[in-house]
Amino acid sequence: MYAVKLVRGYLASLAGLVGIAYGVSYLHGQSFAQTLPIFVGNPALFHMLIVAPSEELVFRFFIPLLLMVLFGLNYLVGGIIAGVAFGFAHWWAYGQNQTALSIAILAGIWQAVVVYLYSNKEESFSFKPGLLAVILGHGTYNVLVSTAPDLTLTAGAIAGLALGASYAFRREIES
Amino acid sequence: MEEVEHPYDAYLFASLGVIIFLFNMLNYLYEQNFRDLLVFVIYAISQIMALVFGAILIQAYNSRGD
Repeated sequence: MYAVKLVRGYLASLAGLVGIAYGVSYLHGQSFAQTLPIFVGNPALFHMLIVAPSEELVFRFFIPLLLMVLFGLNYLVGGIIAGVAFGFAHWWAYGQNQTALSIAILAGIWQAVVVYLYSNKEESFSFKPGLLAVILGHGTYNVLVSTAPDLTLTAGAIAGLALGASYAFRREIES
Repeated sequence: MEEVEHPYDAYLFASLGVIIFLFNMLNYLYEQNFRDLLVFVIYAISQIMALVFGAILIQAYNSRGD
């Protein structure tokens, strides 16, 4: 069950991020290429092992937990507030581009929802495997847009189809 | 939901990032590329702090009412 949730969470995270980036860019009449993140050193290592874990641990783990402890909030509420903060934290990195800012806010909220949906919460709330899934999804998205932006839409569509297929396949087995 | 569990899988993955950071830091120091070094340092510090304080917050959350 852990592996299934991890893969589904990863696919949901990647497909959602690509969908939000393309959808908001389209609505604002801007090119997707104008919303790319900063690039330092080796893109794969930098984005997968430095940027994604760092940002996700701060905005999907530390800040929601802080809100839960201080105000007794549910993870989902704390995660959505942290998701908005995640968007505003990108204000300078994206050169105050309002389209990129909108994408970052929606992406932050989406990632919090993915953590909540794909984490075990039967007896106690566990960040497993939702938090790791969004780290991998965020890292993959950043690597794609910084190394092969033309393939991003295709990768997002494949992730979305694979996620849908995983649910359809499961329903078939159960029936 | 009574308690919150530690995300050990994410801790493990993030610790890989810290190892990569240490090797890259040596490389950037050798190349005297201080701009990239600064970006790495900021990300690494925020990553380590989020890990440590997140783990402490889980303990605090779980000990409510004790």
